[in-house]
Amino acid sequence: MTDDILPRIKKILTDQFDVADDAVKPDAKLAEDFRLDSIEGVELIFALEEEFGVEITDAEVKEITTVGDLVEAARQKLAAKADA
Amino acid sequence: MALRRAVVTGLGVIAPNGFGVEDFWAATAGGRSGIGRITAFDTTDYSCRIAGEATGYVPDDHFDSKQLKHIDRFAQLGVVAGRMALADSGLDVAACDPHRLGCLMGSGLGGALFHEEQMIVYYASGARRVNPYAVPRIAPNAVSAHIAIEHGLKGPNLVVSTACASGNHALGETLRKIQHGEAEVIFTGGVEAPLTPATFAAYCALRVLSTRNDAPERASRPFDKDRDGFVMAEGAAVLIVEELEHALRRGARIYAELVGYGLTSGAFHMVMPDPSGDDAAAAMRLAIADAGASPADVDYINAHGTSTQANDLAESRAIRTIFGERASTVPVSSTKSMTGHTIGAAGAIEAAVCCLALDRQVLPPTINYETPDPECELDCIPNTARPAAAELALSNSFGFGSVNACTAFRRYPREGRDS
Repeated sequence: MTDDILPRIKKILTDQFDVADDAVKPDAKLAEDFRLDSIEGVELIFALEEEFGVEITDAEVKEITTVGDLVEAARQKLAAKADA
Repeated sequence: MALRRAVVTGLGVIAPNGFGVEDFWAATAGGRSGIGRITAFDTTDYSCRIAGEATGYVPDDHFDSKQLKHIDRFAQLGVVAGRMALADSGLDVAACDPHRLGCLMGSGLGGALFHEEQMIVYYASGARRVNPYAVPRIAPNAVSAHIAIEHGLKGPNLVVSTACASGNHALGETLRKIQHGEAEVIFTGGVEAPLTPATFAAYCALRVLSTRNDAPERASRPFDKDRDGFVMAEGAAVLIVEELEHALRRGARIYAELVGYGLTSGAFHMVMPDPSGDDAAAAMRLAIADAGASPADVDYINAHGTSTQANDLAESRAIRTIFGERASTVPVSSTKSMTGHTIGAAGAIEAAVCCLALDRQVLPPTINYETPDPECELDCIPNTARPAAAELALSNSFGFGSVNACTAFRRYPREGRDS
C-alpha cells in the first residue's frame, strides 16, 4: 500500500509544480531544489492531503523540507488511518 | 517649479475587437464589433448572454503553467498589455533609474474569477481548503505589482478603483505624478476581466445590460434611440506615459501629449448618474481648463457612451452644457459600440483611442447608430470613421457611485517625431 507513495508524490510535483521528473529524489529539497516558495509549499500540502485523504497539521508541515519528508508524512498518516 | 509635461510614447491594447495596437486600431477605425455570444461560461439562466471576450488573448502564449496558477486573468491581461506598450515605446528600462519608473493602473473588480472559484471551494470543502494564492490573486493591485516585478519599476505603484472610471482616473493621476516630478516614466492604464458567472449575474440583476442576445454585434448602440443597456466586456490597455524631456532625449516616437485632467463626483446615487449631467460637465470643464484650452478648441470627444438610457442622456446634457450651440456639431463617438464596456479598462482603452485618433488624424465612429434620439442630439460620427485635422481630444469616463473623470490629449507636432 505504501509502495506507490513516491510515484504519487512525483506525479503531483511534476503535474502541478513544474518539477522535472528525474529531479524527484528522496533527498531533494523543496525550497532550494524545486524553488517552491512558502505559498507553493502550502499548495503542495493541500495536494498531498487531497491525494492521500489525510490531514497534516501546521506543526507537522514545519518539519517537511525534502521529498523524503513528504513520503514519510504520507506513510505515517496512512498507517495511522489504517490502525484507526 | 514649473509643471513638467507628459507624453504618451507606447501603447498596448487587448480589446474584444483587436489584439495589439494595430489590430485594435484597424478594427476601431473600420467599425468592427468585438461582441458575441459568451463562451466563458454557461449562460442558459442569464437574461444577457452576450459580451465582448478578448478572444485574441491566448494565456498559454504568454505565461507558463506555474504563472497561470498564480496570476488572475485580469492581471494577466494587464501584464501582457504592459509588455506590448513597453515594446511599442522602445524604452530601455535597464538604462533608466528604476526608482524613477512607476506603475499606476485602474481596475474596478480585481480578481473576480479566482474569488468566485475560492468561494465554491470554501462552501464545498471548508476553511482548510481555501487556496493561499487567493490573497495575492484577488487583490486589485496584483496587476500593478506584477507589471512592476516584471520590469523592475521601483517608483510609485498604485491602483485606483473607481468602477467604470478606473482607467481614466489612472491616466489623470499619472499626469499629476509626471507633472510634479514624482516619476519620469509611468506604465498606466486599466484592466478588467468581469466575465465570471457570479459577477456577471449581479450585473444582469442590476438590469443595466443589453438583452439583444440575438444580434450581439448590434447590441451596443450608444446614443441610438433603441439602445437597451450596455454590453459587458473584458480587456486591458497600458500606456507608457513619459516626461517630455525624457522622451525627447531618447528620441521616442510620441503619440500625443496628455494635457488635462478633471475629476468630480455627482454625490448622487450608487448606480444612477445625475440626469442633469452637471457633475459630468464639471469634470469636462476642469479637464479643458487644465489643458489651457477652451471648449471651442475641442476637436473630438471619446464619450463614455455606454448605451444605457441613463448614461447617454446625462452625458448628452453635459456636452450641451459645455458646448452650447456647438454641441450638435463637435464630433463625439463612443467606441464602446465596438468594444463593449470594459469597466475599469474602458478609460485606458479609450485613452489609447484618443492618442491614435490624434496621431492618425482619423476619428473613429459610433457603430449601430440607426435611429437618432432627440434627447441625444450629437454628431456621433455615425457608423463610419472620419478623417479630421484634430488637435485636442477629450476622453470621458463616468462610474457607479457617481464618479467622473475626463482627460485631455493634444496632438504632438509631427516635426518632433522620428518616424
